[in-house]
Amino acid sequence: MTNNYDKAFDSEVLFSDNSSQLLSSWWERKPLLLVFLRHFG
Amino acid sequence: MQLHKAKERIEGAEFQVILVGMGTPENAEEFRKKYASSFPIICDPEKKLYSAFGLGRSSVTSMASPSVLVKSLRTMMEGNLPGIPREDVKQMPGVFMIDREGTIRYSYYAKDVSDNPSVEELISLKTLINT
Repeated sequence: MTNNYDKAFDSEVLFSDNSSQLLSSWWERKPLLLVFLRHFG
Repeated sequence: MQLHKAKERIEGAEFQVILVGMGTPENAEEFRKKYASSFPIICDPEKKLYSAFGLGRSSVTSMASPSVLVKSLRTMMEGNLPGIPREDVKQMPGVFMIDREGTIRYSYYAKDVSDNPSVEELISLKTLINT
């Protein structure tokens, strides 16, 4: 489990437009709300 | 979670939103069209990101609990009909706020598969990132 004030996991991730980007490249621009869905449906 | 319907309010809250799902890019684009969503979507079919953020799987008994069934019915009555899930239906959802230094400032681990924070709770997170 991740706790508040831990450093977030960073990795190259695949977006729906088939681009791969570092997750940190997003939060470095602006705070990021990462919403994990249960399923696409 | 009614994120799509609250997009303008959320965007005014000084943070950006990215959705993470277990499907393929094709599944994600279908989802985007269905909900007219313009949030970026990360595709994590191998659940590496889910695992890295500590999101586990629910039990069968938890999925069939009365509270889950009531919430599911309420969601459908609000006009949000679920599609046929193609991913791991036992995967638990969650929400995290990460500040510009890469520090987690808020974490929400769902108590069951139908549990999500309210839009109001998410919008209130702007106070966290301004401190």
